[in-house]
Amino acid sequence: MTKMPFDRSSDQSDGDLLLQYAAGDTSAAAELMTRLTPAILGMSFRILNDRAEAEDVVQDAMIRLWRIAPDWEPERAQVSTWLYKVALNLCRDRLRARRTVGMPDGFDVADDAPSAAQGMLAKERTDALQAALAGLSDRQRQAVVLRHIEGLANPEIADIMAISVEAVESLSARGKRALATALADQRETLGFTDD
Amino acid sequence: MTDTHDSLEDLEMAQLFQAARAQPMVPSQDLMARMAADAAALQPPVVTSAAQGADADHLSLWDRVSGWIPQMAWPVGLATAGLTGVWIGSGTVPVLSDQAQSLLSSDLAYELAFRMPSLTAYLGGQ
Repeated sequence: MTKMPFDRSSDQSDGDLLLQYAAGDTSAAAELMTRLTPAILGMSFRILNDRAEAEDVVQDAMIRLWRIAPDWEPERAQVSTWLYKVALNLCRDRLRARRTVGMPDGFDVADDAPSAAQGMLAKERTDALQAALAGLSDRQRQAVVLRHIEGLANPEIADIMAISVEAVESLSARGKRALATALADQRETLGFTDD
Repeated sequence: MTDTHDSLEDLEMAQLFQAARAQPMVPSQDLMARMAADAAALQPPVVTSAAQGADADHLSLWDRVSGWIPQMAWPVGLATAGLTGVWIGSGTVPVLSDQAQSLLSSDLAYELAFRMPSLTAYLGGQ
């Protein structure tokens, strides 16, 4: 039976959808894109600090997902974890390539980032956080993004980053402390002085 | 007032992270179109009988969408045409390839048009 877009059950797992895609259901691909792309794009952007590169990473990661679909084994991994892992590795490749060609690893405002003229405190905070994230080491930034922004559990992050849970805890804690220090002089701008 | 703290408090950091989480990245229309083309191109071929069944389902789906929500018919058509345009590239191919035809006859364009009206407008050149 064909499902309408609005019939697609939200309790279908990503793995089920991937298998349905592999079996010929193209609407499952749309559901997967809708579900997975924002988070993967967010992670990639926060790590790479470049919107265009982040979108390329997402596209590459999704291509790999479509290709593995016929062989997907749902019991082996969650699709989202697998996709985070692939995207993170693609991000790491790009970070290494930047260093090879001598590009700075610093903050570079994305072309389409909304300006501060929007005047929204939340945007001020997001921009400040993004800038501060760029000052962290690659591994700290990856751990902080996955733990505190993407909201993943430490064991899942450990799987994605291919490190121990203890290392995740250490990296995310040190990264968070570094952010807190780096952002301290912006406390008033960030709206933390009126409490 | 001069602030003497040399780092933000945990609660303040939590508010920063919350602000970031509350502003999820929205994929661009171009990215969605590229991914749609990839998904259509890389989808494993289905057996003939299943394909025939899928085609029948597709027609039924199209009829149902048009019938239930008439106003969706034109943007869905634009999305389909637009996605096909993306798929076949810069227009140098005068006839639809098998893959482009496959995308045209897939549900993906309908799904994307339904989920992302902005993509529909983009693909429709608006």
